[in-house]
Amino acid sequence: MSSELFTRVAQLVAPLSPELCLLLAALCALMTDMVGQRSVRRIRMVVWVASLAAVFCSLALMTGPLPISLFSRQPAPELELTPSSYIVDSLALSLKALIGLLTALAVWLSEDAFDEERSNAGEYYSLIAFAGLGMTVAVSANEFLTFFIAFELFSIPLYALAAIRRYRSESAEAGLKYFLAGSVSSALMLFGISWVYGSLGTTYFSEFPARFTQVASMPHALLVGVLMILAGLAFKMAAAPFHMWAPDVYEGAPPTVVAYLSSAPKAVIIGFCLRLFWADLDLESDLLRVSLADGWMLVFAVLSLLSMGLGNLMALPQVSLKRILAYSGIAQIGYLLIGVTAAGGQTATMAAGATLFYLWIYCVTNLTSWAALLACLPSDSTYQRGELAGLAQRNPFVAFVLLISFMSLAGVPPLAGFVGKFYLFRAIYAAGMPWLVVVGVVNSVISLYYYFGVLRTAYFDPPLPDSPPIRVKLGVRVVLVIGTAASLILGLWPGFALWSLETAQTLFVGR
Amino acid sequence: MEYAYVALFLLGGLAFVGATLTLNRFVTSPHRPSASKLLAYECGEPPIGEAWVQYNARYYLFAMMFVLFDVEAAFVIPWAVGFKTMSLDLGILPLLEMLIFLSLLALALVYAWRKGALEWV
Amino acid sequence: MTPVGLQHYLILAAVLFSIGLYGALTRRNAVAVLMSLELMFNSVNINLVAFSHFLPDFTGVLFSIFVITVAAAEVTIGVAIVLSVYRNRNTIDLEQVNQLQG
Repeated sequence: MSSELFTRVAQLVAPLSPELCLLLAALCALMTDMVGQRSVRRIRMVVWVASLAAVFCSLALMTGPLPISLFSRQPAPELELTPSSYIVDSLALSLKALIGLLTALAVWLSEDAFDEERSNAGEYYSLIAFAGLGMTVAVSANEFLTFFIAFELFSIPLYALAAIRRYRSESAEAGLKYFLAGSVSSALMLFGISWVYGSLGTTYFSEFPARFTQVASMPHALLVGVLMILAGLAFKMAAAPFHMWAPDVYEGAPPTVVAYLSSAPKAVIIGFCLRLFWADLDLESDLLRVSLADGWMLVFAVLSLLSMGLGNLMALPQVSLKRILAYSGIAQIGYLLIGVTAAGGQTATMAAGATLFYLWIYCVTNLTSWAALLACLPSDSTYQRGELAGLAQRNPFVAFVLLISFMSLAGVPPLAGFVGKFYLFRAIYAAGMPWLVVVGVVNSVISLYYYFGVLRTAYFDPPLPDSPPIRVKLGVRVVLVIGTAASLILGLWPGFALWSLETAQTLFVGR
Repeated sequence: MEYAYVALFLLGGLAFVGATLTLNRFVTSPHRPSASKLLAYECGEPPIGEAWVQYNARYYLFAMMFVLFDVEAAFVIPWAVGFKTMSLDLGILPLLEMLIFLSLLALALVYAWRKGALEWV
Repeated sequence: MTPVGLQHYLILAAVLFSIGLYGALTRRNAVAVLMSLELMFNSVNINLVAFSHFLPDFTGVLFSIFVITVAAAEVTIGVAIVLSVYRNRNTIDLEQVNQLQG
């Protein structure tokens, strides 16, 4: 009896190890915070060790037999597969590794950022760990209820994190705006889920294909449900036309928090789109194709088009660095959605691999550019572009990092961003939408203008007479080195880039 | 047809309330207020300000804590209802699961306590 | 009298959801917006329980319990954030809480 229990527990623990690492870290952080106020260093250490452990656990699990289904329920008679609410497959594991890495980088970035505040540092790190936990669960969810709980588990800590400088009015306002946009998006998504559940009679993704035959009775109900889910997801990843909250939130929330919340949730949502809408990456039985017949790829294509166009055009007149990065993030979601669109076409595996590859590049580069700004601007800075004047003379290292990450975001040839975009465009071309390639290239050219505007200020403008000296903290320096190295290696060493892309593609074959 | 009862109850309720209020007009004394009649009686306090004041922000903290812990009961009740059937199939697991859940809740409560959320400052 | 069927519940839920969405997008008082959000979450519950009864399938009821709990958590964090905005600005009028623009 007890040995049987032990085996069951052991079978559960191994595939769940990345999640458990983060859960334990979050609880440890809470308890340490409870016991004493002066142990901020220890709390930080616990959280970053745990998030790195989550990265290693995910990578280790990837070498084993996959996919692993957990929490299965009794199969329905018409099904071959046992429906399970939790699936540990290569898509989930690679995203978990990315999320763990982003969490660790965010923790390094936050060194000393909150020590001088009355807001408690312990709370801050445990909220980050809880958000990471929610995200790692969300990418494995194979059922709507599980996904919804996980979605809220990472959303709610992020609302609190955006408002964590609660004695500053701009942080509280950013928290309020993020909360309102986020809750409306959750409610929309939830309403859509209830309609999908009503018309298909199940919340298990793996049961959907078998249930599509009964959709004939309520095709519009399913369509409404799917579109509302999509709207909720688009809100959350700030894809146009649901992007309005992003610039305000990015401007008001503490920059360390923005570095995290502008990258990691996007990874979750893009991964979830791949899982839900192009479920098996085969061409017959996915959710959107059944509910939308011929228009299915167009929905994503339009979202992508609007995000790229609006994001890049709105970024042009901005002078606030935070707003430039916010609009550039909206545009980057557009590029990622190109990949999601292509994943619905004939060359699904190639497209999904390219999306995952670009997701890694974008998330790390985005976090690095926030880290570079955080490193060179004082903590009471308003992040105006002019404050970067003469950065190349004041601190050549940070200026170089900024150069590399902005050029990578813009997609300038020898860097990782270029390689990633190239594969995305190739995928959408193969999927039969060459006009989206044209749109993407034109947008990249537009984006060069504002990225280079910032770099020109940093490199060619003389430094302001009373600029304070720049001292980069160790944690931030680690983030800068890792991010720059990633951009350079993936760009300059095509063999490595090709190898990672092929790995990303094979992730989808074995599922 | 079963909704007829609801309608009947509704009508009955309205009729009863209406009847009592009307009866009140006949039984009680005529309504002639004056300044001295409206004063607080003997040991009562004269009112300060209006009843529609903003409540002190401290109440919100308790209200929030209450809502959180109150709603968790939504998980305990179905568990208690199904406990007998579940333990026949799964042995001690359902009990363990609920213990884990409750200890997490308890941890949250202790955290709030240690952080001073339960103090009246 | 026509019996109460699935579509009655669905219409009720859709009306409640629309009222909630309208309120969340137009009300100026932050607490009223929180109430509208609650309305949206509860219309989802009506939908789920109605579908669950008429399918019949048990998941919907289970789902609605989780929705209730998560909605409580959301509103709690919402009230906390609104309070901290109030402490900073002395107002919860959303048109005045608009320092960040550009």
